[in-house]
Amino acid sequence: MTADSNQRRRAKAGGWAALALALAGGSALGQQSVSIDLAGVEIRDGASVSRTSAPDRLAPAFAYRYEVDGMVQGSGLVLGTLFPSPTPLADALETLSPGSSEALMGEVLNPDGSHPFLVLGQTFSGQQQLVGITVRFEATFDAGIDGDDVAFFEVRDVVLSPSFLVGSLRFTSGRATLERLEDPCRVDLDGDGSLSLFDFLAYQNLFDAGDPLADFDGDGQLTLFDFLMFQNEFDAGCE
Amino acid sequence: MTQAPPSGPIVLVGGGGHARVVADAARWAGVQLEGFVDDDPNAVVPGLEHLGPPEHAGPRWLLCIGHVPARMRVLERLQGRAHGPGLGWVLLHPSAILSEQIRIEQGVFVGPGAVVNVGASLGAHAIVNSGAVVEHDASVGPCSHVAPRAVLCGQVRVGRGCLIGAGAVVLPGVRIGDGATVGAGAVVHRDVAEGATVVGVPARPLG
Repeated sequence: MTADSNQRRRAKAGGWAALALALAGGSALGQQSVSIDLAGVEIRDGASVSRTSAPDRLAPAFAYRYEVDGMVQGSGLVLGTLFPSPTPLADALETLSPGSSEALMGEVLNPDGSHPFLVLGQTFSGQQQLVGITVRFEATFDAGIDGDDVAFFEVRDVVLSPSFLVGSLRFTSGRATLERLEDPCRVDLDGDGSLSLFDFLAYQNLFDAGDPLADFDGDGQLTLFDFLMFQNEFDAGCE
Repeated sequence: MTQAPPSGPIVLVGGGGHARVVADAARWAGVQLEGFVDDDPNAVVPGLEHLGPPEHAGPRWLLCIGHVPARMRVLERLQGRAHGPGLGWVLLHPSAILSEQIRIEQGVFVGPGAVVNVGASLGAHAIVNSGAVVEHDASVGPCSHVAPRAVLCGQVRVGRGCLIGAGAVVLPGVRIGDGATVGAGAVVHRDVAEGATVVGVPARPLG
């Protein structure tokens, strides 16, 4: 599909969404993006820490953008010496595991368009001589959305060894952000590359089932306007 | 983040006997050395290149000057460099015995056979030399030097820039004031005032 036609579709969608917001009823299904506050999360040897977006929820999508960002401060000989004041998380990770900070943001596809879904599951590791101490680092960062559409971020299985010399890192501020991405041809619901009666029927089924994927105008509610928006986009077709 | 790259070869600051001890410990510990710096252009540390005066130490260095006043003067010069002080590296000889319940700051050297016991703390750029013992809950202040075979008993407090001479014994709970010197072989059973020098058994102020 071209950028022009996408823009046209989105412009239409925006118009319908405004009308729908003004008129429609129905139950809240989820948001377009959620953030998880990471302030206070400590990365230390043996730690596993988890935070969620609750009560905020993220509606299902076929693709997501994620970003983990923040400032960390070190304590202990190695990390306290290297990061005595708040330092970007990416810099600290690069020190402990060179080349790893790229994984802190990205986009992932969710072919099933359903939850639960793991957006980020990355294990960082490295062994460096830092401040004269041979430091072994390993940690897994998980981020995703659980079966109740609540987003989560977890740091688990942390190794910072030798712990008594290495110390720990603590988020002074930061957030993990998960955002829904619009599917380039979301009316092709059966994913066969063409628009047919089966896509129409599939939408009808989703709508009848109250599936968040039928929330085409993204207002968190299923109304007639979602159906009309689907129909418009179906008529416009996918290129 | 500090300006110093956190890893890479280090430079020894000093070109005397203690630098040779540290160079040897570095080899045992697998620490890469880039060279050494010293004001004396004739200083030699076997196997290492003389890189110039201390200001040429680069971002990663380890103070290797056993004489405490000289050590403190050179540290001031390093910290006053226009491009930043860099980082004082830690070097722990593999044969040293360290409790996992201790606190160490940057630039510390712990020599062969030394013991640092539970609850002890070593301030920045302190030396615990060959065979010295820092017992439970004792602390060694920044830039102080605990010479070979000296013993700090439990809960001893050594201030900043002190020298505890070779083989000296400081009895439990004694406080050694900043800049004080304890002579070799002394047995210290009372607190020592700032800047004082004590010698003998039992230790008494000199002069």
